[in-house]
Amino acid sequence: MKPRTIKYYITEAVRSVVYNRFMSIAGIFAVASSIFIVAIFYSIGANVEYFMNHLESQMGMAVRLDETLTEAQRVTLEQRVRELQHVSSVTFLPREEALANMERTLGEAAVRGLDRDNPLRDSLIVELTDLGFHDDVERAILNMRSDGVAEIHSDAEFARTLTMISNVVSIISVVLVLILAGISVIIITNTIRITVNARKTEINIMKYVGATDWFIRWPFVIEGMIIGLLGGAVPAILCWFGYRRVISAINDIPQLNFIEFLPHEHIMAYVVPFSLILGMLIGLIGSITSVKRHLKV
Amino acid sequence: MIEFEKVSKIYENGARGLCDFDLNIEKGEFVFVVGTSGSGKSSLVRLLLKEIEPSGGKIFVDGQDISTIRRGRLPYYRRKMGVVFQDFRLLKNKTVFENVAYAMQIVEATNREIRRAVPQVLALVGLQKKAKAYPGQLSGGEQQRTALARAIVNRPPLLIADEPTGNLDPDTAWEIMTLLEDINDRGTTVVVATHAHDIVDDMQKRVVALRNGELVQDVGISSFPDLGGIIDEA
Repeated sequence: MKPRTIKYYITEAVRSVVYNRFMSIAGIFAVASSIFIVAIFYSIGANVEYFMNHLESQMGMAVRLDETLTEAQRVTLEQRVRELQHVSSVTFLPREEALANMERTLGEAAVRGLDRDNPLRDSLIVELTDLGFHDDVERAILNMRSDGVAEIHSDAEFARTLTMISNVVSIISVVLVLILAGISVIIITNTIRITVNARKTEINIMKYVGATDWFIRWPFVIEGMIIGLLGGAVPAILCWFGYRRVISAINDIPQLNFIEFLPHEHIMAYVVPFSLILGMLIGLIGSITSVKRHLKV
Repeated sequence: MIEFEKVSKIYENGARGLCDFDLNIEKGEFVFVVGTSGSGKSSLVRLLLKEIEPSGGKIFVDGQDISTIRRGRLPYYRRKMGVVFQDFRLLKNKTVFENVAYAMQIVEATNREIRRAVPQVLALVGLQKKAKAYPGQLSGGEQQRTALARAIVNRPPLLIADEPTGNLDPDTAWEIMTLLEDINDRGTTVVVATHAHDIVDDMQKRVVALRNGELVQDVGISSFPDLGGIIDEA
């Protein structure tokens, strides 16, 4: 393809977007609104999953150690627990530090006098890579009783509920995003089809004059991509500026300020390219399929 | 230049377009194809444009059996001919200049070639002052002249005009016919399907008359008959 032909295609496409401005705006609006809804659901889904993961990471288990354990035995046990599958970290918590934590949480009165006769045990705080494996890890650690494990403290039921919620949210958000993306493609393809149908006479004329299918198709394809790209840019811009505002509005509510949100740049790293690429792809597919119907003259 | 050999066209609804039709048009000829509505004129034009396929027989254009042309090569075949329609078929979002230039752009002519050829052809059809006007700003005659300019700008050996004066007043119709004659004088084979009785009578050209898809008269210039009966039925 010669450079002047490429230039011609692009010029024609831009001119056509401007000339058919009302249909172009309708196309941009259809793309923008559909992708915006998909982007919102993606943001909600990603944030729920992030928050669940955050909760999960804070939900470890406390392995109480036998009081007779020597320092060397404790280090060996700690190493064995660390080597278990699905264990992300193991932190040794001496009984003195545990008491200090308790004092910080419950107040000085609650622990008064305990410093001389500390009833707490040394512990290993175990965090998991995935809370779904809580029971497996717990069983494996309990098998180490002979190596100095006294007991395990954890909220297994809560862990299971959290895992279930996290899985359900992930599935729902993936399904919703897929359904919405599918609906968007159908709506937008139809919008582009209407714009192309309105110009079938134009395509017929081009065919009679001796234009090849691709000579006719390229300007439409580029036009579709421009409309798709502009349509994708709108939700990208809205999300870029809206995300921070929504987060800060939610965090301003005292009852909700404990919620951890994904950082702006993390969400935008997906939303912006997703919106632009999806918009362009939809425009491309929509225009190719729509023009194809009128080329058989 | 054009040869129809026992060509038939039966449409899916059973309507007969052409029936055992033979015709031979030599290079450089000017031929009128006349007949009533449904006589087969439009079928003839559509078959020549390869918009439809014959049910039987063969059509040769410039020595080539056009049934052998594959879909992908169809645009290249159509570039051998200029086409003018009753309804002008101009691109409404392009100026007169751009409409004519479009035919050159599809054959990937350079900008320099386009800048040289388009004004020349616009001058030939008397539209040099309307180059920047859009079709909506032109009269019917001016639109048809634009379509003519587009049809001849690539200097095709064959020009097909399907009812080119159908939407024009008599004076403008004559202007268009005079232009077609000028184009023919420059060596282009011209085939005009028309209802225009007075023009056919006055132009003294070869006339091919159709009725119900059959050739009923093929009259040369030297023996031009009174065709009023056949045309007036329309």
